[in-house]
Amino acid sequence: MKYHSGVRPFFLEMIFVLLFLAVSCAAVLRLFSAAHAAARRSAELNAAMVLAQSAAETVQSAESPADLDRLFRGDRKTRKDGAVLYTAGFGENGSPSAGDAALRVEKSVRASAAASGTMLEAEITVFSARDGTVLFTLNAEKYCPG
Amino acid sequence: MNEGRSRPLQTLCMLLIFALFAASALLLVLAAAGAFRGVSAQVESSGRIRTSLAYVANKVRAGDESGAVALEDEGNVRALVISSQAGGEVCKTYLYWHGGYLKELFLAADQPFAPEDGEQIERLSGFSVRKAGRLLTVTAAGPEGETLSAAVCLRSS
Repeated sequence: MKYHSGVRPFFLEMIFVLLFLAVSCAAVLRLFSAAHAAARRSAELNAAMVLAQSAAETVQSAESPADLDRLFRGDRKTRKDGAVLYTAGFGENGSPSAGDAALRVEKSVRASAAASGTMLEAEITVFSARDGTVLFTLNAEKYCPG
Repeated sequence: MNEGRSRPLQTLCMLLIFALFAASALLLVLAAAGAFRGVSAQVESSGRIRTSLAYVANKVRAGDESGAVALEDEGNVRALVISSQAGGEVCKTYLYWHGGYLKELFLAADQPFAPEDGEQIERLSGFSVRKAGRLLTVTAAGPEGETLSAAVCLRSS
């Protein structure tokens, strides 16, 4: 009888501890999964910001509207609503991607005549290629004299 | 008799449950440590690359005067050199990758360049600068080889 009275409470206690551990495990794993997703999202956003800023600086360095073709020569060029659209794909950390891209950078450049020159208006948008959400948007303007 | 026979079985069950508890706790700790290490490494790597790129880009923007930003090969080190005036003397700021670090060295223009003397800015597995026309492209590589490039337009040229 002495033996039973000692074992059963311990046995029950261990079962409760295991149940509690299982619940804790589920909560902790969900927490880490959320942390991983947040870190990944943050890395994507950082990369998106750098890519958008680089694209804006590239537009700034253009000498003429035709120069954009040289500057964005690795991009896919299309036309959309009267603007030229340059599209490039990148990995999730912003590195150049030849295959499946995690980030898509679109540079929509509209050229309009201004006083003795041309005004270039660029709208730069970085999308997550996974779900198509907009991660970052930046506008840049450049006046090309002549 | 029955009680006596079931004793070892109960002890075995208890030990099994205790072993299960210990193994689960250990697995949880290991999984959590692995996940934390992964997240931390990702954040650190991304931070290192971004900090380096932002640092170099801001240095270039701050020293962007006509002809002040150039690329120079000093021995087997390719450096981004930003010339400036300090106390009436021409000085040069060298930004380069040496010994696994992005380094910075500020010298008078007539002083010899010694790459090992530079101040360590950030640990990187690679760093390069390319200049095409007015566009300077800075590329930094993290510890796992992931690269990120930032472009800076030289407005003075």
